[in-house]
Amino acid sequence: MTLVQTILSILLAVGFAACILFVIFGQVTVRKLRKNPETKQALGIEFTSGWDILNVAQALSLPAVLEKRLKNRAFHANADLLYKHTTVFDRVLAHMFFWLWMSAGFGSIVFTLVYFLFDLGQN
Amino acid sequence: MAEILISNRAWNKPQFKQMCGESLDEMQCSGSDGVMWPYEPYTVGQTSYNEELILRALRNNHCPQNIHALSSALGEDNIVGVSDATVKLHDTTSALAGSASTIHAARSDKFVLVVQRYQDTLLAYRDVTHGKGTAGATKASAGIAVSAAFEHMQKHFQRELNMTAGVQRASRKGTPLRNRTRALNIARSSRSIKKLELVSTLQAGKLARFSKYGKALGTGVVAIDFASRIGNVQITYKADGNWERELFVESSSFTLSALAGTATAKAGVAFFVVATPVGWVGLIVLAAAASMGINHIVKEESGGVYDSIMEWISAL
Repeated sequence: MTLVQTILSILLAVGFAACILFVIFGQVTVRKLRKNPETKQALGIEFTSGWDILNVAQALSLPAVLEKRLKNRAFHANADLLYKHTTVFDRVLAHMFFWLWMSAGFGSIVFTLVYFLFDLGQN
Repeated sequence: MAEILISNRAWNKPQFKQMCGESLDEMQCSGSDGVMWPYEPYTVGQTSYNEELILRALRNNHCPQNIHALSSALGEDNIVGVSDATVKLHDTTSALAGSASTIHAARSDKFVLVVQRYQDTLLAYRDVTHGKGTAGATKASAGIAVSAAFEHMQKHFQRELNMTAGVQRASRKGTPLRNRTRALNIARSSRSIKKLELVSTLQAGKLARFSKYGKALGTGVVAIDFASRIGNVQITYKADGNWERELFVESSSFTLSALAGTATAKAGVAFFVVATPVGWVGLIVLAAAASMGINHIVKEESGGVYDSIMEWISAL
């Protein structure tokens, strides 16, 4: 395996784990929150079906410092409210999913930049 | 060219003759026995194979009902144009990259919503002029509501409106999407039978998709992207190529480009003010670039990853 392919397979493995956790987190935590009349309205904008899962994961795992600096407030889930309605297990799940997803996402963006900047293509 | 008729109430033979000047016996539809049923698409004369395909595309669940409601507000010619434009928006973006298009879908959903609101005000106006309006609504207040919805649509969705213009037939009277007087006239005198002229099944399919506006549009984008990827796998399979390898390449590139696209979009919404047209475009371009970049790399390289995995498995 070339270096590029090694990095790619790591990214793919992380991404694959994130995809599985996305479904689990959606079924376990977000489904519960969608049914709860108190939190139903606080899950943020739904750009496309399932986007609220991403919103909830972000609200439960972003550090408070960053949380305060969020722009477009209406688009995000209400973190304070969600903390009251979730268990420690939910938050652990949220952290695992969110950071795996972010590292696969931004990992691939950085990788793309490096790939094109240093011209790592096979030809 | 197929002429499609959709009515919102049932007609028997004499009534239909009086209304359209044509005999009902010439209408073709499954199970029509001397009655024209509401919300069923009909063609005039003998149904050709092409027309049969068009009818089939239009006939699922609430589609004809929605088309009827939309065309009584937008006019019969325009609904074809608008549906074409919204579908075009989706196809161009989904051809670009994985799920970067989800953000774009949000914008074209909004266009549909704005057109729909314009249509709702027009329908309310029609009800008032026909003496069926809600309590307290006058002709003047309904007219003002139409104007407000019209202004909003003109101001925010110029580009989408321009795309509809290419499809519409040039009419001396103007089109309801551009000309509010024309829209009010249509609303005032709209009849219960709608006549649509469709050239192809493609157009009918677009119309059918358009009639299911709302959330279905968002998921539709991903479905199109997926379909084209599956198509690649199937082509490889038919050409006796290594289709398992192609499947690995397509699904892994979809996964990573979707992850990169959503991550960019999420970060963009989190830390930049995007509630302006420029902000949206910037975000769309960024997310699309991220998705496209990684999509390209994975398509180039993941075949090699697949080969190594297979070697590793066979070495065990």
